Amino acid sequence: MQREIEAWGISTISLSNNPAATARVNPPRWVHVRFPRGSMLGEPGNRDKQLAVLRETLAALETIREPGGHVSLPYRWEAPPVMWRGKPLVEGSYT
Amino acid sequence: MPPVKSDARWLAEFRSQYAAWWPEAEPLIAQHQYGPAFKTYPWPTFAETPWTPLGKPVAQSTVAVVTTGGLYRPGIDPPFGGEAPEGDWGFRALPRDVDLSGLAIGHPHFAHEVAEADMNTIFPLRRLAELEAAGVIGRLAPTHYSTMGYVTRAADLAAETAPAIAAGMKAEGVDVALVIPV
Repeated sequence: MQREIEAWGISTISLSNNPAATARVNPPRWVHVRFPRGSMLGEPGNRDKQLAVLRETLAALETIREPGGHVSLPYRWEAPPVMWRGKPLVEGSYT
Repeated sequence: MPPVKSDARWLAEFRSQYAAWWPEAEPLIAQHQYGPAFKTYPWPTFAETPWTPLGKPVAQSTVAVVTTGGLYRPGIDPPFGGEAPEGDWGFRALPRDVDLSGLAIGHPHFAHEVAEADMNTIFPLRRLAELEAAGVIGRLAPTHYSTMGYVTRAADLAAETAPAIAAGMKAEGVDVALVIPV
């Protein structure tokens, strides 16, 4: 998806909580976030953190100069774990 | 149908590998044995990536969002076929002022509690409108997009859905796309 949009002449960036899977498809630019699957911008209602993730992601559009480049954001999940099929989702868990 | 503009040479090989994978995967998926089913999935991998240099500062750019959360407007958009064994590779176009709390999630394969509490966690249109007002982005595009992240038919997503979304963005003068997989 991202690769196709970029090929149409639009600069793209994606969020990823699964660096291994993202590196495999090699998108033009991406940002590593340490949030569980189902929340790519942090806790619900945490407006300040959502804005910070977006500001830094948009800034990365201007700082990533190499195709396939990425940056990692330091923010962590600061709420009780999200449960999925009876197990807590942790950083890096995707399914 | 809009043309594929990215390197499409992988599509034929993927479709061939997919045709070999699906007969073995189908009974496993029917029993929700996703781990064993996808252990042999022909995941596309790419050494090269397309590149469009940022044409102007983000503060002057028009920004659009794609989420794979399977979001749609009940009663207006058709729901996604989230329970279909091969998923649903279609998309829904959503206006920038859509009522986020009124959106439904047609993607059954992730925990919905966070997004249901605050859709900005996977589709941050309200936050981006605030960044537009603050001058961080030039303009939030009129239209944004949702696909449904469970799709086994990656070639159909790439050949049909992705170009249609890209063409829609181009028609609205989008400079920057933020892609949010779920």
